[in-house]
Amino acid sequence: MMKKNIYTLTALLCAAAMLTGCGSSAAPVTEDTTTTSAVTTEAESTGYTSSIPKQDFGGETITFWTYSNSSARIPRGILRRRS
Amino acid sequence: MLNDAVFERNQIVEEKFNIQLEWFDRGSASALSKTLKDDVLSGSAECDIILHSALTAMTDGLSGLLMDMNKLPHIDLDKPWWNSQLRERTSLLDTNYFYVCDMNVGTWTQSYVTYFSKQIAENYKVENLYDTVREGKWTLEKLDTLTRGIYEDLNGNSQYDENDLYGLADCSCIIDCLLVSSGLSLTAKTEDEGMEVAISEQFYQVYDQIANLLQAPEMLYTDRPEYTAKRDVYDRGAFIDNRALFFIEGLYVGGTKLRDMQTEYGILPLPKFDETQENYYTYSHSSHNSTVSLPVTSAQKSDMLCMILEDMAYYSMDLIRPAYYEKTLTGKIALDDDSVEMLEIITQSTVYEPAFLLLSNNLTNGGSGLRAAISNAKPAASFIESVLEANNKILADAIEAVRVNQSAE
Repeated sequence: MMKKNIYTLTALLCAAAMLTGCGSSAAPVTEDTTTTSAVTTEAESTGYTSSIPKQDFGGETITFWTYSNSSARIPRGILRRRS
Repeated sequence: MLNDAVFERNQIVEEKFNIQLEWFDRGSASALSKTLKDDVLSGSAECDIILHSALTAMTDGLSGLLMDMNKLPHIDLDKPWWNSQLRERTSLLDTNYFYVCDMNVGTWTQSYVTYFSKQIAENYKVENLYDTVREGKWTLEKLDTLTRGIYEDLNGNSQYDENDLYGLADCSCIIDCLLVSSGLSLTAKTEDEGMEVAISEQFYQVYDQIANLLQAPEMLYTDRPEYTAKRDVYDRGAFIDNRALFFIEGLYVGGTKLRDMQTEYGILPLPKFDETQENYYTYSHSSHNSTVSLPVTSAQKSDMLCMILEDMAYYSMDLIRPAYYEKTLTGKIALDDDSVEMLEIITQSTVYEPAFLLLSNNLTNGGSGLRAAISNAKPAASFIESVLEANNKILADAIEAVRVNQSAE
């Protein structure tokens, strides 16, 4: 029930984003079925889809640096400290 | 739940692109800036993407450490997972050193709101505040009027002190909040692509209104000399103990410090200047919020990095945003339509005022700038006159720094 509420909330937020100018005023992007590599995951909550196609970057490591205040969003176990 | 959402987003992105995401906490914002500078100057390029506060991102950008986000591929600011308003507001010579998207939970947690005690509101027969917001009547004057209507000398010592019941309890952070929520812009772009301090007639009205509010005996203003040693303890304590109708603070406080409150509270946006102001505006603490940038050493990988960033921002809207709201709303705030509606207004109206990013050592300095002037009710005109030249020089230097960076690209 909670999850459903939150999904509804996200849809509302996106509508608000469009109204307030935070984000798109365009119609939600629909999935491009002509491109086989297009991502098929569609946000159940919003109707938007990612426009970035699937890619293989060969196991590349992408390194993010944060400061203490912003690290609260990172799950324990994948956050490391270097001296 | 929030951690689960972050984990799920990261996993989806890692699998989609066959990459490994690594996160490193570099300590304080200043420590992160120093480490970034060392990384760039040494050419070691260990950092691909940086999540900084808005203030330090601007500073590092001016120092030539960050790329111009406007020139990067794949990032689509028209998508709802990016804050598109930020680009115009914080650009210098059409250069932006940071963007904000739904990855930046710190921007939400550092968004300032008006908390109110439902019990005190009921006891004092305060109007339905949610309706006041909806009707566009939640203004600085309304905050002032309601504040002045509430005070009880709980310990009976005939003195206003930290143990009494107040209409409003807050520290000087409220000044930054109300300046922004009143729709003021303290800087303006000039016709010759420069920038200058912008002081309007409305600025003086807001200045005086805030100064008057801070003098109200029904406000526990914890930057008064007798309270400063424990200002956070006193203002927060008054609200937690149900001894203040209003308390203006960041959303993060609701998810942490207020969780143990015994009574229910609600949240409202920050008040508008007056009823003619079209929208509510939210102040996001520029020293503690979160942004996203690419170091100049990431230039060669920017195509790949921006695909990943765009996708992470998208999945953050899908997964992180609802998880954050659930976390925020499952404290003492009921998950009801009113709260959801208020959070929509609050998080979708965050403003990034350049004065808080460029003039933090002078005009917007917490100790000696506007906060001190308004706290002490200094005459506004003479205060502005005394700082105008120095602040315009800072803005001119910032524009020149961007020119130098652009010529080096």
